[in-house]
Amino acid sequence: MRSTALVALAAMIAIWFLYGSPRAGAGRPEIVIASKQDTEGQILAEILAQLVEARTPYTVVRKTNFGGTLLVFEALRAGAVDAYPEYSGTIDAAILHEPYAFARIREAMRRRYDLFVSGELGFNNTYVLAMSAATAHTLRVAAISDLARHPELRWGVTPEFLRRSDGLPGLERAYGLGTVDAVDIEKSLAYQALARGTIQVTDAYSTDGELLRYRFVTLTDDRHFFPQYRALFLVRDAAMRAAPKVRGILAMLSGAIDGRTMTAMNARVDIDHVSPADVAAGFLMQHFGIRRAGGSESTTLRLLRALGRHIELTLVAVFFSVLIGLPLGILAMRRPRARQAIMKVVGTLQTIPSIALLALMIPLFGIGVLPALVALALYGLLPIVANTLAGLRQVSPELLDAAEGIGLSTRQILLWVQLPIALPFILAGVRTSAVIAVGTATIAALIGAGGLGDFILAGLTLNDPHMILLGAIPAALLAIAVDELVYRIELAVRR
Amino acid sequence: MSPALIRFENVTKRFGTQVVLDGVTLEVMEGELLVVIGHSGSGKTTLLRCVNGLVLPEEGCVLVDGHAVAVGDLTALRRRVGYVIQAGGLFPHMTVEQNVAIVGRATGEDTARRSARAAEVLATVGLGDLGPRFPRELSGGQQHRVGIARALYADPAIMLLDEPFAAVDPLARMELQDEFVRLHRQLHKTMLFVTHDVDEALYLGDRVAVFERGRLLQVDTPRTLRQRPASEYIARFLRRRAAEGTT
Ligand SMILES: Nc1ncnc2c1ncn2[C@@H]1O[C@H](COP(=O)(O)OP(=O)(O)O)[C@@H](O)[C@H]1O
Ligand SMILES: [Mg+2]
Repeated sequence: MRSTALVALAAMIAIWFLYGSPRAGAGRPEIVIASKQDTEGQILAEILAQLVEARTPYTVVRKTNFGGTLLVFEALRAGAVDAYPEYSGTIDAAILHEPYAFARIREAMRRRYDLFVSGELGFNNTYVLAMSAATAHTLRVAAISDLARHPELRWGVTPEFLRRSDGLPGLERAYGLGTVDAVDIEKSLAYQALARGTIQVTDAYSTDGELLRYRFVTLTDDRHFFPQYRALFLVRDAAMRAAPKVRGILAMLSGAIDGRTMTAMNARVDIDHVSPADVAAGFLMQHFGIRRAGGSESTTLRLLRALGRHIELTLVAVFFSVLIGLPLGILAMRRPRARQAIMKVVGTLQTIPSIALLALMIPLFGIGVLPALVALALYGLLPIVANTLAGLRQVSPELLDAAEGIGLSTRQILLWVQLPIALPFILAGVRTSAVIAVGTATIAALIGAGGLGDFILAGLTLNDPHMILLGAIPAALLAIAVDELVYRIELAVRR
Repeated sequence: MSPALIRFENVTKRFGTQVVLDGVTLEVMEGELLVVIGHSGSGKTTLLRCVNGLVLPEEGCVLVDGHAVAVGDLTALRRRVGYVIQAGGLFPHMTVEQNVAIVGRATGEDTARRSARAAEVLATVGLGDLGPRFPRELSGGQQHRVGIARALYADPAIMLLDEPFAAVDPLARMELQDEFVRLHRQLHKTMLFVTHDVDEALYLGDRVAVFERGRLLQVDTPRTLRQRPASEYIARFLRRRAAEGTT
């Protein structure tokens, strides 16, 4: 039984060393390509990544699960990410707060953030109005202005669209629609309702793959009401200087992806459950005749890498939890006055939702492994501090009296008597802390730390249960293994 | 008479407002086994703990081998004074040998030396072959002997024993007492022995000091105490407890 535990530990450490932290090829520039969690972003990131791999000597690192615009943008500014796909409208609204004009965006991003804005990729993923082909045909509706003639139509729109000033209220004014007959409805339900005819008009994103599945038609925005969400890449100037061939790659992609192509690619992922990497490879083959480089990783290898990173995150975080928690527990035992403050602080840390704690680390440590480690280590503190304190306090006063009376120094009493007797308690705390770390580390993928969370999050985004399980099952097994491993150590210590 | 190895000079100790030791003056001679007896709470343990500096009195002073016990180097003093407490105070996670040799470890002796010395003292208390065992594998009587062996390890001139046999059953206790008398004759150490058992006190002590509420009432040989108790209280105390037998 002991040997099983040792084998498990050895396997964990081996996977960590082999696959944990990718070490860049000697001297070759490394490009970190990122995206948010949406399907389209992941496909675009893959296209760029594979094109770079095929046409340049650079090494590509993918981080395609960022939790939102601000997270990935911060990562870009901090240098943890070199490039990611973004939309002109988002840059205006969320980043620059200025109206759209490509030249101005490019100039402003360079001036303010030292960022290079690639040429537009060729499609505009903005709001559109969708109708069933039959209804549109019968009523002869092709553009939004045609809807003014049909106040009898029932609209089902997302809650966001219903309220935003650049949504329905603005649209009604711009097109003189009056007040349309609108209800709010979830996006997935809206498509079904539209197909069944319960509603006749809904809002959508123009490149949404689902539009193809239902064969809906989209109406022309003939008064140019909706803002432009033109896709492009944001790239760090510094990365462009270090890897100058990227400029040529971006030029290749400029204008290369039209709305139809993008919609079709989204549909391949969302509806046919093809991986973004395979869809990207298909695109590159078709448009540039590029066969996927042999370097593209198999799923097994990617999984091993994610597992390796996950083990790394867990072990290093637990190590630091112990490194900080043990002295805190000792201090809490010795200083009753410090005790309350310490327990309060580590207790409060634990009550912060893990996603919030991760987010709080970003302004301090940026994006990636470091902030994740800090958050995980803090998160795992409570069980270790509490158990250290409890373990030390249950050492009987007679033993302490004997130890002192025999002539042991305070330090010797701590190291030879108190800590060894408290050890089973402390290890139980380590066990809890380690299991928490394995679980929380799955969320750390949101801030670019990698790990098994990459699979789970990607699976959730792509609505792909297979991929979710690919991350979730190893994570669960890892938690069980870690629990069992520390438990065996505990037993061995107790004897 | 041989010189005093321990001297209490007008020692007063308070815990808060409670006076636990009240102007105690007492000498323990070299090689003497002095037993301290009194009701529970009369200050016996506190008196003992003044000798190795676990308690520091507010007034008066305690001299060990002519040197005042003070805040300074208490650890060194404690390593030169054997200390045995009621439950034995053995460390449950250490083997008998490790328990016995802990002072050697504290003073940085090498393992070979520690192990040799531990075997020696364990033999002295008749536990020659128990070194590798853990305390919980031993009987109560054996555990007490390990406690004594541990106190003997550094060959201290002085030993302090706080009700070492109180928790053992009567038969085992008598055996331990006999052995202890033998040990004292053989090693000739200066011993301060606390008990609340009158029979034990009269049986073991070269002299017996009777305490009541922090005051030393009388200190004399067992024979003198029995024949000429200083007060009616002492006479009653000795009679009653002796009649009750061991409790
Ligand atoms: N550390 C302490 N703090 C407060 N009171 C104490 C402390 N140690 C002993 N006392 C009190 O001093 C009195 C004498 O205790 P002690 O010397 O242990 O008596 P004995 O050993 O004769 O039973 C008791 O009333 C006890 O409650
Ligand atoms: Mg006592």
